[in-house]
Amino acid sequence: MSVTESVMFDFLPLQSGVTPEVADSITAVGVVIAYFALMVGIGILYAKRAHASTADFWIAGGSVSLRVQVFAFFAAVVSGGTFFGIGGMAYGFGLGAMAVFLSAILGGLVFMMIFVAAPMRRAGVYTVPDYLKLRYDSANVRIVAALLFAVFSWAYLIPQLTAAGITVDFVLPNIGYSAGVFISTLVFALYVSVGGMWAVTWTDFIQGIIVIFLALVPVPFVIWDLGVGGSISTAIANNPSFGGTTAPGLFLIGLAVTWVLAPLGLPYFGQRILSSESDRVARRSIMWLSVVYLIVFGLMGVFVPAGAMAIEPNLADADYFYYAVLVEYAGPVVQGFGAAALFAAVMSTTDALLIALSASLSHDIPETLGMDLDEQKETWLGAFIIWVGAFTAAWIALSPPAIIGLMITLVAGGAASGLFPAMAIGTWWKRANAQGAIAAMLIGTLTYGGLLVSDVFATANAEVLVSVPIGIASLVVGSYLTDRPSSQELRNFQKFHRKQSTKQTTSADD
Amino acid sequence: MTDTPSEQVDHTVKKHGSTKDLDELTYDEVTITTTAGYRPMIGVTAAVVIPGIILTVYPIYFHDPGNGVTLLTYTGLLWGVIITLAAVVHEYYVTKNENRNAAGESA
Repeated sequence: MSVTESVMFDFLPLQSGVTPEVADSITAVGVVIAYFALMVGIGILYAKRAHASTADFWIAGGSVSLRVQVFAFFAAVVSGGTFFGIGGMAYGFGLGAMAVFLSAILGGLVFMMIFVAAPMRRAGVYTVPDYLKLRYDSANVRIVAALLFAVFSWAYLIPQLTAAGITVDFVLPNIGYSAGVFISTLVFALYVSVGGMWAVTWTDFIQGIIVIFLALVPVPFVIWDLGVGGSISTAIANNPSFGGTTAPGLFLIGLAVTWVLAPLGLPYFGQRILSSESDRVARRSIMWLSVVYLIVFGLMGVFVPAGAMAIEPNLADADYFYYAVLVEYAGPVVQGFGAAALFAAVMSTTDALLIALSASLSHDIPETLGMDLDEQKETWLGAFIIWVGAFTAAWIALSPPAIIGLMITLVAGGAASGLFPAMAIGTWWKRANAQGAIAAMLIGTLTYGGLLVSDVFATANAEVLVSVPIGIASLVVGSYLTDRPSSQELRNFQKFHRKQSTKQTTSADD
Repeated sequence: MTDTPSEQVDHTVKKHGSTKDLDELTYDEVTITTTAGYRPMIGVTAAVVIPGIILTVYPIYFHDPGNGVTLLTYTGLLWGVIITLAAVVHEYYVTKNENRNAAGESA
């Protein structure tokens, strides 16, 4: 076990306790199967439209309205990692750690809103690497960004599929975790490859509503049974550190820095911004989802883990907190819906990641290399990459390296280190140029990876406190040591900051 | 493949009441400090970062946690509320700036 892992597990004394099991598997399984069928059905419904053009396949024609986008974006943000992770953080590390985690994610969403949402949507491109290519007028920037986005998307898939496997294990203990990972992967890959961003958007819209409802379902049960203050005081009686945190300070600060900066570099968020029907819709959808996110996970993140800690302070895994409460208070149908909610959280991020991964590898890289793929070939290549990416990630997820909340934070740290400077600072600082952006992406990522592998820090998450400043310094130094941006870069830079709030439909017909 | 919209660059920009060809833009002429989102971006960044430092670092390192619900839990959640309010204020501010700029251009 590495030093980082040992630190993680030193203050997370789990892994050998109680695992909650669903009461009536058949009913719960029925709900989950019906849910899977609905998602695949939506994929098939949008198959023709999605494959009509590359714009439809990658960004749903850039025509998603505010009402749909708020819930679709919410669903994408609420990955399996945050659905499990926020409450899991409270159960494993205490409410203080949960509060920092929740607020840092909100900070990241707001940074995405104020730094890149509107300028990126005004660019009218299909992918984030394409946006960076325009900003820096450089094919090299695009290819480096596409490779990084592909790596981060793929790595982020692993904790999502881990969460899916845990969920199947909960509903169908006889099938078990491994089969659960592969069954879930099959469903995800099927509807994303068939329905593209259209299917992703509409399934995410439905999943967003389901997640909001089901994240809150256990809250009244806990409050009714234990009371508002009673649930927390009972939890504290079972675990005295529950009201604060057992996590080291450096871990929490690293967690906060990671999540404030990571959304700017997480590929699937950018892909969702680009699907908005205008720059104003891109901004406002993030604003509304922040409000909803705070309310939903503020309540769920406090009361559900408190209820779980009050009921069972010795769960085998912190990520089981939600199931523990469902099993205690709800019947098999609600337990089945609970499992569906977790699938919704997992699916909505996994599908967006698969689109982002596929777009990087089948749109950005072939175009940069001068491969002249027609629209049909490009979408079919995209579909193929979705299957390969999903199943290779599933293979790694069979032996996941850590608990879900920590896994997503590890990947997010890489995104924050490698992509935040070029994306956010480069969008607003006109002196930033292609050389600086490439230096920031490569040096930031390599520094983070090097620190992670070499175990320099005794505390998890601390790596970003060094790698992010180095990434920013690389952008600044690299830009100042080389020529000023070209006139083409300046033109695009200016264009991204011009007001353009009317509908901006993006399609192959434009 | 048809041109992506990104390639359909509008080569003109309103500048001092006249239309200027963007091909002639020089480094010094490019400014974003007067755009609708610039000042809100600066303000909201400060509203996220400064409370974040105060509300997390102080309780973590300079406050004795004691028993029960600790200061960090309260301040951590308060930070989230401040961030969310900042997002709403940002959108209001930017929309107001955009509308004012649009009214100025049409006048």
